[in-house]
Amino acid sequence: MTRAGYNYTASDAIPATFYSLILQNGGQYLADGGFSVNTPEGMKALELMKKFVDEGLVDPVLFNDEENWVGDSFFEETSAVGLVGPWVIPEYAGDFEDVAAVTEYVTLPSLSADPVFVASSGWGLAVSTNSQAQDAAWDFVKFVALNPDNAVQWNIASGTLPALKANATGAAGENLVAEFPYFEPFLKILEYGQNEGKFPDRDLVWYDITYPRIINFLQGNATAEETLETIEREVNESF
Amino acid sequence: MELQIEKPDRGVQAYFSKFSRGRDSAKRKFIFASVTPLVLYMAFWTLLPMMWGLALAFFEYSSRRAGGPVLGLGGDNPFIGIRHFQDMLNFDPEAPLNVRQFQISVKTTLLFAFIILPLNLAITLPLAVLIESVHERVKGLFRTIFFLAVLAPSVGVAIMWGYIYHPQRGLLNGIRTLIGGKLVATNWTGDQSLVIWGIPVALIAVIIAYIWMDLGFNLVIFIAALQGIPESIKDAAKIDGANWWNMFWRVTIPLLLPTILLASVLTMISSFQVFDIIQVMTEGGGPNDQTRVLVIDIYNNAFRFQRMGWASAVSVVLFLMVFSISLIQTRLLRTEWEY
Repeated sequence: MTRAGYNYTASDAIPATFYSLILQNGGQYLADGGFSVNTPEGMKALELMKKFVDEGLVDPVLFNDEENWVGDSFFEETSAVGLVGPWVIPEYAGDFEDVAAVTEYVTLPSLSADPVFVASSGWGLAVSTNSQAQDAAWDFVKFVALNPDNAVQWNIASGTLPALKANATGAAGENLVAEFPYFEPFLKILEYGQNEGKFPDRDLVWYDITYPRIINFLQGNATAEETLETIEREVNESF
Repeated sequence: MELQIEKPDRGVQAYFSKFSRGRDSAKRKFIFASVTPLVLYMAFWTLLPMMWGLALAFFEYSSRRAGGPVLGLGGDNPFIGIRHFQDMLNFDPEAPLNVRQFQISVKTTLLFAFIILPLNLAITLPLAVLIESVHERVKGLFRTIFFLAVLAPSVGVAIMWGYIYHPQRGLLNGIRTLIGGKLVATNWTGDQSLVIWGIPVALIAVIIAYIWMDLGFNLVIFIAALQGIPESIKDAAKIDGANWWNMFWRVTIPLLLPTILLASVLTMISSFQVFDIIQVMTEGGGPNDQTRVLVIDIYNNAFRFQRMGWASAVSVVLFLMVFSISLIQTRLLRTEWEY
């Protein structure tokens, strides 16, 4: 395969797809009892992801995090469609001006009536528990992140979607769309986003457990049952 | 008359008074003044971090937790003794992920190092003999060409080889496509199903890149050593009827044993510590952790997942492995003679 139709096999895209599909199938992966994906909803999610591969939308052996990563691949025009955040456009625009100029975002079709999806936070401000001035630090964090005017400045500078709901609508939303026209499809569905959840180590769950197990499955090296069982066990061990 | 026997000066006072007296006092003062800053630098920037790393190996330490009042140890970063090292010996298939990844890393590191060493020596030693046999004017040119790869930044080398191995645009697949007449798109560094003699092709790809980058170093060492072999020994061998193979195997190799020991130890140490070329070429671990080596494991645990205690324990294991193997090499290859 020299060009992928739909490149969704990167380390951010696979977990985002998998967990969103679980929600769209009516399931929940994080509940009071812990983490659970070895469920009918988890199985349906994996089956659909495998169907994309079987129908030739992407070859997960040639298109993954190690080779033809979705951002590189899309802008080098070896992927027709890629699942990646809007931050890639300012990132790659300098080197791939022509491609960036004609790039658009579209919303994916949803299995559920409401297009629910899992939202990962891209950037965050954290205050150390070792800090001697935690109150002052949190005041500053609130000033940056919760003040709508300050928050929207960050979105414009970094090309990222608004974390504040207030900035997704009204004048602030219009400003963002004027600055980044490709934001429009996102802003319409932001209300359906569900935070990925509180993991002790989110990066471990995303990049060291979910992505490698699912790419292994998509490449035909593990069964769906083994994949779900392993992901569930390894994530629960991390709690 | 009673014989007076002067007792020799002993103790610190005597040492320092001797230091500032005598013929060599200026030399001693110069050496002291030159070496002291270096020793202090090494103590602060090398010994202290090593001791801190060793201490952390016995704690369940993460910089994300507040911990006790003394350097953050204790409290939420409790002392756990040798539990990390005990966990490393858990070979249950359902052992925690970090334990299984550690075991994979040990296996991959040993495989990497024990393939690199014989291959490196098998290439550099005969090559050094060949280069040493050519005309003086051309010798320097060959030395320079081979050493250029050593000077190249390892990240640049990794990117270059990544281009060679690229599935669609890589030189390797391009040549195969040209020869075969049909499109070939093998993912050399990302297809876990590619295995040769039980060794993942992703690891072989990294090994080739590493040897390419590193062989110039040993080559220069061997060339220098070859130049140190007395001509009289070679002449004596020729008079005794030695052909080129006898000369190489029975004269050159034995005389180069001390240098081979040095090159082996240095090559082993550097191959145990490989990181950047693997991180760049295979995104730190490769397909299904096939290129996950110990330093990658340490890096991921320490700086991505903030599991400093576990990462420190793995570092201690790596140190012990390198130390033991260097000791074994020194024992096996040492010579009792000099020339």
